[in-house]
Parts: sequence; C-alpha cells; structure tokens
Amino acid sequence: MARAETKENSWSFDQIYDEYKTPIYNYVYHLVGDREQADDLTQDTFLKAFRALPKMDANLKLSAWLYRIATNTAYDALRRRKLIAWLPWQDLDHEPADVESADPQEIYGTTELVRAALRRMPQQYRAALLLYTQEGFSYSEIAQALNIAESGVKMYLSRARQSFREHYRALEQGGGIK
Amino acid sequence: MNCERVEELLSAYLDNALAPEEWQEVTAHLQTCTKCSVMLAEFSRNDALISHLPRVSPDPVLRNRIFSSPEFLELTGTFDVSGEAQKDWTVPKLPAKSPRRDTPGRPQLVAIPGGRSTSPTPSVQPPSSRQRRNSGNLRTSFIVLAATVILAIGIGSFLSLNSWRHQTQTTNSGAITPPIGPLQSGPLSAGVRFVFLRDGALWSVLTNSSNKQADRLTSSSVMVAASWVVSPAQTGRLAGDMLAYVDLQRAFVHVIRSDGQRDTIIKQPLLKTGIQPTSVWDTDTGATILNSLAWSNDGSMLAFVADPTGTGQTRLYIYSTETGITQIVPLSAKGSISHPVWSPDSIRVAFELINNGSVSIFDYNTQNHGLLAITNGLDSQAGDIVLSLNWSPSLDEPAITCSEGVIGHIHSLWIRRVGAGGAIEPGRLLVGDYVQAIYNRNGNNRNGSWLIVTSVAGRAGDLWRIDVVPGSGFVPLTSGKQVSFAQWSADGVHVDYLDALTSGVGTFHIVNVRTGVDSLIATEVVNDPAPAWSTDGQELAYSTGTRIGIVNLQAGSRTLFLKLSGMASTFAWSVTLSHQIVVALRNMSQGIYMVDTLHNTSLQMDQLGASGPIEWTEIP
Repeated sequence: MARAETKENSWSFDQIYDEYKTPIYNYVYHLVGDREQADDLTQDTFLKAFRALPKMDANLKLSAWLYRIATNTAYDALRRRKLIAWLPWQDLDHEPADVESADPQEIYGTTELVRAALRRMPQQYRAALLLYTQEGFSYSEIAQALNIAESGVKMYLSRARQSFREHYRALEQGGGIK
Repeated sequence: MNCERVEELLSAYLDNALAPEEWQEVTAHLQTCTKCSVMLAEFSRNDALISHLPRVSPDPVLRNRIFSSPEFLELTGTFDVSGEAQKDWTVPKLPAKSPRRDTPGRPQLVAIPGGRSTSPTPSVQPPSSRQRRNSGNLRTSFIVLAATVILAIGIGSFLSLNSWRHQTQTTNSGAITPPIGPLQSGPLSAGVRFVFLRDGALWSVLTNSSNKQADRLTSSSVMVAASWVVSPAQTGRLAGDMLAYVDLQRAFVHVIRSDGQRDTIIKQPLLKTGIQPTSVWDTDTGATILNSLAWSNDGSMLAFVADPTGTGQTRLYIYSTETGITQIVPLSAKGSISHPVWSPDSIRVAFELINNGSVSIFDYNTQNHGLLAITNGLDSQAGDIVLSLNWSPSLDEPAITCSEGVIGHIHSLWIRRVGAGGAIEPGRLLVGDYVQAIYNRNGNNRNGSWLIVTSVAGRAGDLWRIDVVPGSGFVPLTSGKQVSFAQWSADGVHVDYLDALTSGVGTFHIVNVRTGVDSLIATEVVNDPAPAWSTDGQELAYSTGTRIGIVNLQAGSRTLFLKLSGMASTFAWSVTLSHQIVVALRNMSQGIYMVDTLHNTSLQMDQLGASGPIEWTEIP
C-alpha cells in the first residue's frame, strides 16, 4: 500500500482519501452543483494531491491545502463550463441516496432555495461562505484554502452574506428557481 | 455610525471579528435600528440554512475509480505491474489529532457491574473550535462510529439488559393514611383548580365557582416541602389530579388528590429512623431527596429517592398509585442516585449515579426490570455532574439526552438511544465550554432540542440551538448578547431571555427559534419572577418589578401593561382559557388574582399570596 509517512504519522493514500473524501466531495458538490461533475473534480483533486504531496513542505496544512486544490479545480471546471454551456444544477429528484443525516425537519423547498441562492452567487464568495458555514473553517483557513490574504476573508464573507441574502430573498419572494 | 457603515461590518460582527470599539458602536446601533437588526438576524439564519444543507458523500465506486485509475497506478509505480511492492513516500506532517480529553490521570467514568462492558470512547472528533461552530466532522465521525458498532447493538443491548434482569424487591406493600385529615367537611368540588404552597401547606382555588376562597388541602400535621409536583394531564383532561409532596417534619412522601382526598403516605421512610429530618434537608443528600419526585407521564407511578440507611447513598424507589406498592430499583453499585426522569412512554426511568465523583447514567425498565448503564465512554472530568437529564419525545425510538460539566461550565451534550436498536455508546451532540444548556422535548417540531448559552471569557454570551439529532449543527439565535434566564415557550417555537442582566434587571427579548428572528420586547425587566409563557405559546407575561406586561405574539409582540400592578411573585397561565392568567402579588398589594388579558380586568382570588409556583389541576 502506498503510504505517506512522517515521524509521527504513517498514513496511506487510502487513509487520506477516507479522511477527506466526504468533506472535499461535499464542498465541491456545493460549488458546482452537479453530482457527476463533483465525482470528476473529487477524483482530480485527490490525484493532484497525491502527485504533489511528496514535494510539499513539512509544515503543510493538509486540510487547507486539499481545499485549495479542490477550489482551483472547481474554478477551472466552472470556467470551462461557462465556455461550453450552462449546465443546470441537478434536479433534487436526482439527489444522491447517501445524503448524510439530512435534517428530518428540513423543508424540501428550503434546501432547494438555499442551493439556488448559492448558485447565483459569485463563485469566490460562494466558496468562502461554504468553507465558513459548512466546513467550519476559520478566517485563516479560508485564506489558505482560497489563496487570499486573511484580511480579504472578512470582505469576502461580508459580500458573500450580502449576496446570498439578496438572492435568497428574491427567491423566497417568488423569483423562481432558474 | 450610520446604517451603511454598519451593514459593512455586520458580517464581521456576527463572527466576533471586530475590534472592540467597532463592536461597541455596532452593538449600540443595533439597539435602535430595526433594519440592521433584521439584516443581522437574516445573516445568522442564512448561515444556519447553509450549514444545514444535507452533506453529500461520494459514491463508493469513486474510490475504486481513483485507486485504479492509470494516473494513480502510474503515480504509485504499480501501473500495469501487478503484485509489485508499492512505493513509500515521506510527506509533510499530516494534521495531528487533537489530544483527547480523557488523557491518563484524568478521572474516568467507572464501568458499573452489570452495565455494558467498558468500551473505547466513541471515535468522535476531539473538541475543536471548528466543531464548536460546525458539526460536519462530528456528524461524519458519528456515522463512522455507528457503522462500527451497529452489529453489536442488538446483542449487546439484549445481554446488558438481561444480565441485570432482577426482580425488583418490594419494600412496602400498602400505604397508611395520615392521622389527621385536613378536611372535615368532605371532598372539595370537582373541577379545575389551581394549587399553591403557603406556610407549609398546599391550597387550592376552584376557578369556575363563585366561591373564590382558597381551600386548604394538606393537614396541619405536615409541613410541605417546596418541591411538590402535580401528575401530568391525561388524555382528555386539562391537568393532572394528583399531587406528590414531601413532609419535612416526618420525612415521608405523600400523594394526595387535588380536592384534598386520599392523602396517602408512602410508607418507605426517606431517612434513617432516629435521624432528625431538619438536620438533613439543607445537605446535598436532603436536596437530592427533595428534588427527586417525578410522576410518570401516565400518572400511575411516582419515582423518588431516599436514604433509609443514613449513609448518604440515596436509592431510587417507584411507587404505584394503582397497587400502593413501592419497589426499590436494584443496583449493586454504590453511590448516590438523583434526577429520576421518566421516558415519554412511562416505561423507563433514567437517573444519575454519582460514585466517588464519577458520574454514570442508568436506564431502568419498569416492565422487564432491566437496568442498563448508558454512560460508558462519557468524557467525564473530576467534579462533573449531570446538570440536565431528559428523554427525546419519541415513543418509538426512546433516547436519553443530558448535559455534563459543572454549573456555569457545561462541556458536553450527549444523546443515546436505548431499547431495541439503541446505540452501544452515547453520541456527543456538542462539546466546548458553555454557561448553560436548557432542554425542551417540544423543540425542533417536537423532536427535542437544546438551548445553549455560549461562554465569552467565562461569562454568558450568545444563545444557540442544537437539535437532538446526532450530527446536528448548532443554530445561532442571537448575536453579541449576554444571555441570561433563557427559557422555551411551551410549544418549543420561541425562546425568551434577558440580555445584559444587572442586579436582576435586563433587556427582554424573544427569539423565534425556527427563523432566528430576535425581537427586543422591553428594557428593565426583572428575572424574578421568571417570565411565563402561555400554554399555547402565544402570550408571555413578565414583570418590571412594579408593572406586569403581557406580550401577544399574534399582535406584533406588543406589550399590554395590566391595570393590576404591583410586585409579582409568580405567574400561571390558565389551562382552560387562553388570555387568562393567575398572578400572585407580594408586598403592598399582596394576593392572588385571576386576570383577563383581553379585557385587562382582574379578580382577586385570595388575599395572602403564594410562595413558589402555582400549578393547575383538574378533578373530573
């Protein structure tokens, strides 16, 4: 088994994948809104990471670094998507069966609205807001994952919240989901 | 600071990422600006909505796709070369796991004989700031944990229950009637009565009668302790009809019907013969006994603890109103029992056992007499106690939930399903340092929910909600507040609290826990008596010390001040009519009044007032 070893830890690529597969996949999925594409992007993210790991500095923060790769990979895909065609977000009818512990009280329509509002936001703000709210990242971790200055995170989150609020309000008030 | 500037700072304000001066300016602005307050509430709600989006996992086939891809095989040097030894790398240090709190030397919960065998602590993520803000990792870990133990659950539960299957011992069969009955003139009229304690006696007032005189229920030979309890309302009834109380003079539990009939002494002594009861009540053991009375939901059983051996090691007893028999719950482990809490189906009793400073929680099944230790793996510290213990409202999937820590510093919330399909280990809902945790079975659409008061430099901070569903994230309900005296509405939809409490006076707020909208109701509201929600959760009474305000949520949360004014001591909303509340006043205008909040009129029911709560009862 291929392993990644340090003096204190000995992790296989399997272990890295198992540890981060769900958070990375979840993050990428919410960035691009398409399950099939999330599969591809998750695969690309881990393969890029496995390839680059041996060259990385000993002080690397693996988690933020993986998210950085995932973010860049997703941005590239979104850019390509824009060039090719606009792909609609996957219908909720095709929601993956292995959705984890969905809140039983979650109103189906609310989830749909939240996803639609996220989709309408600028991608860099969407990424910041997802990292903060869904992944629980600190400002510093967001800065590393998005490769921006820590001082910029405050502005990103502020604009992200404003943007989400505008879109969510519009959707709530009958703007419809396109 | 104007709105435009505040709007730019609100996001950082929500994250506690502002400099102190800016924080103060924004806080001051929010006190007066509804527009910005609403925006802040929306930010908070929106964060919660996003954090609660269902987390998605990759399909298992993705793993194979990655690890069998040409890129990966090429990377590991195994491309097209089956069986070749794979290459190892030295790569940067991976994120170290945070040290567990159960490090060597720290006191641990003991495994109680007969409970489940000691198992490793659940593989939940160690506490981290990230988890405190978001439960994604915890959720993932919980699922991993569940997957690893799921096979053991059925067999383990069965063995654990059966290894402790003892027939309970009957300690007393029958009860005696007190020598002096309080009522010489026969039973009181049936109907809806409110009951209160005054001068060591229980009194009741019939509300649908022209006679507004309080009737004494208990004998002059007993001194009723403050922690008396009313049995729960049964189907088709507005309130229960039985009262249970401790006689402080003779140290026995009594049950009595709310019309003063059938006063029955439960024969099990609470204290060792020869011990002067008054020497015990002020001790920890005394407090444990006095606060232990708990009716089952169907009103057929009463749980209480007693220390008949005088060792300070309290035991749990269950009295049946149908048979008059008292049974002791068998427990070979030493320690002191407290906090009995009935499951919603009236079959199980959860309780706490403290032995040499270690906390355990047990689940006793009154039908098969099985006893289950449910706290294996709790991350307990020296001096920890269970501050709150309760059940999820589900009848099909009973679960015990509790808060653990010390007063003012709660470090964990736990949940554990019991019964068929129950979990082998408790799951941690939340970890960190919190000032207070308040549970309500009706929260989260009657699925059970906790309110958490965060700790800011050791002082009360903001209010969060976390639902009793493993993997739930918390939902911030307030921002930049110093929350005190938070309490749920009866329907679990709203929460009221006092902000910035000083000398018993604070700013009064109501939060809708579903929408996260936090409304300022009034300034200078007192914490004693605590504000009181109506049974339908639509009205709330509070006191300013001299005036009484009624908030009607359906009328835009405006306050109606009652014409009846004075220093209130307690409120009790009617169970028969909405817009009707009983108010006890003290000092100059002492008395008990029935108030109609629609017409702002009041009727004096008693001239002497009440000490402690007022409860409703109904004799059919």
